[in-house]
Amino acid sequence: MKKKTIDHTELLVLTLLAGEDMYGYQIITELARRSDHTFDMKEGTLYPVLHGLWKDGQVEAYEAEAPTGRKRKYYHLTKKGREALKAETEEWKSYVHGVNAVLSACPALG
Amino acid sequence: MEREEFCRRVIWQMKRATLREQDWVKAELMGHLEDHADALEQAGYDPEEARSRAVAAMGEPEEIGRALNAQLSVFWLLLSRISTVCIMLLCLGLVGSLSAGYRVFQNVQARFDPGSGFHGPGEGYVRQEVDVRGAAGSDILRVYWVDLAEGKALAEVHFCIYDENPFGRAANGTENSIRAQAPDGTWNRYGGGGQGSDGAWYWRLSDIPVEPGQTSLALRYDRFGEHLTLKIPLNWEVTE
Repeated sequence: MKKKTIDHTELLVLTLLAGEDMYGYQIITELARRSDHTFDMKEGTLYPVLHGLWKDGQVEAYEAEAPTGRKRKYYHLTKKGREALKAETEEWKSYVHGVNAVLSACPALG
Repeated sequence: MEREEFCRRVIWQMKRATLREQDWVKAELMGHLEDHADALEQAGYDPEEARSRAVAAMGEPEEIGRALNAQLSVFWLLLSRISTVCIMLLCLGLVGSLSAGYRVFQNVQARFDPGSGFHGPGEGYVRQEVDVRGAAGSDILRVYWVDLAEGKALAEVHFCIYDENPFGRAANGTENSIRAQAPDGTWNRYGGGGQGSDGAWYWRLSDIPVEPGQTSLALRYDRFGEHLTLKIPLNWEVTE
């Protein structure tokens, strides 16, 4: 069985980027907001995930100017990333279905 | 913890990163910290607390650095290090080759045109070209000029030393092993000056006492167990 902790973060980051290009701090805040703070990760731990996705070709990075005039690094989902997102989503659904099936069969849980 | 220290501690863990990769990571982390601090200031925090909270929210810098380092390829880092070493060795080899080439040039020049580039005789001296050579071990000692003083019983002898092998190194410090014979028969060292390098050394012995009309001047070379005596012809007609 895969270690879902790592896959969670990658899956969630890919999902966010499927909607729009985002920069690092934006990914963190969106993740917290959309999950109702269920996923409130240590912010620095996002970057190894992003770099791993970039290295794998699932995202690409570019710089754009922020409203403050500073350069910001944005991440964009690639075609490979979209395919990976689709595959990861199916795998997650299958995983959740399996867990739910086991839980629902438990008499102690009614 | 300040932002700079946070980034420094992250980068410190990234041993596989090149300097450029470290700069990229630092820029990205600093950008994130600034974005978060800006958001906190807009929410009402004072700038110093906003910066402090932004850093605290990042997590352990060492953990982040190790995770980033694990993303980096050891292969390319090793390749870049090996390439750097190879380039340095090539440069050293090139310098060595140039050095060896210059040594050969000096050796050949000493054989065929030893006086090239040197000054004329000192004031009051008349120069005569000679070509007296002798071997001492693998060294060739060649006397190529003799300057005789007009009206004074003094001579200057110009000589060079080079290896019999064009690629060989000429023995340095030869001037300390050369003696000239004075009219009274004693062998003495005399001052002078010189220059040169591995390919050939040039030296001038000055103020050697001679007698007017003396037909030759003897030089003796003793070094490394090798002995050589050269007889230098003196032509006094050039001073007349």
